[in-house]
Amino acid sequence: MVQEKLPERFEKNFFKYEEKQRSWDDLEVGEVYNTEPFTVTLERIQLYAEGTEDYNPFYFDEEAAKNSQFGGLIAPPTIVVPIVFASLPPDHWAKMPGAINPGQRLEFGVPVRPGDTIYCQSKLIDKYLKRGKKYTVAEFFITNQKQEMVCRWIGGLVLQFQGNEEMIKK
Amino acid sequence: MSEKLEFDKIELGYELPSQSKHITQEKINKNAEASLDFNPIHIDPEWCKKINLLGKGTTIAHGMMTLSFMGKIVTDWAYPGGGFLKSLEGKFLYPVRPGDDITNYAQVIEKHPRSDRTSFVVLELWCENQDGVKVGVGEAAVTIPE
Repeated sequence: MVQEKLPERFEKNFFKYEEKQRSWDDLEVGEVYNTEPFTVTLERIQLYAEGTEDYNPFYFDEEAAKNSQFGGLIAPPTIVVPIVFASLPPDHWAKMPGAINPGQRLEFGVPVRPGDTIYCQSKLIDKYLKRGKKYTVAEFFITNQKQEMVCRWIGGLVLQFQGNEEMIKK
Repeated sequence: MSEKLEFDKIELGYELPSQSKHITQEKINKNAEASLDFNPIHIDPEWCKKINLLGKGTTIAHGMMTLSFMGKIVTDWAYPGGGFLKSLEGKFLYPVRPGDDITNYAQVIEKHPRSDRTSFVVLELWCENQDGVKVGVGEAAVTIPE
């Protein structure tokens, strides 16, 4: 059984890197992010399926999955969420305390399977102001170890520092 | 194995069976562990109270958790029938909070015939809370190879 290995820099406490966060004004459209590959274990797939209450047999039942159009166990399509959070640096704006998710678009290629090593290329493709709020839009191009496209994800966040006086000023 | 979906037999306007989810802080915490998204807006009730997050001072569920529910109603239909999820899009219109009951809906709104086993349908997706407020809207495309 393969043991999951999160990148060493991964940090659960988003406050720990809050002061290193850049403000929306400092982000430049076109900037690319330093991501790390992430190997997806069967345990992560099933933890994710349980965390989203999605008990499709193709994520859990090897025999059912084998006889399906997929020919074996797969991950739920939105498994790209933990993949991206594992891949991004801890001070990336996607981890800014208080950032709000306004919506996302995912286009899928091949499914993620247990043991796949997933690579994520990411860049900021837009930022804009709307009704007094500051939005970011990034593209995540996600591939597996065979360079097959897993997902093209376009989406962003409403960035707002909240709570901490110093960060609000930023 | 369930019956295969056949593109020609899928009717515009067909509504998938709706699905409901009850949201609790425990479930949001579990989703944070599963998705590796530990933003305090989801998992730190004290901080949310302190900053009066979104005017109510409670945590909110992950938008991607809502999107995963929107995707699940589609894959529960498409996967057993031999289909593939081609795309999934969601906009989050209103916060989902602990205690909410969220019901997800999906309806076939477009059919795109192709001759190379890549015919696909587009489904309109929406979800509402217990007060009938739309918390999310979106679309999914499903390839039907048969």
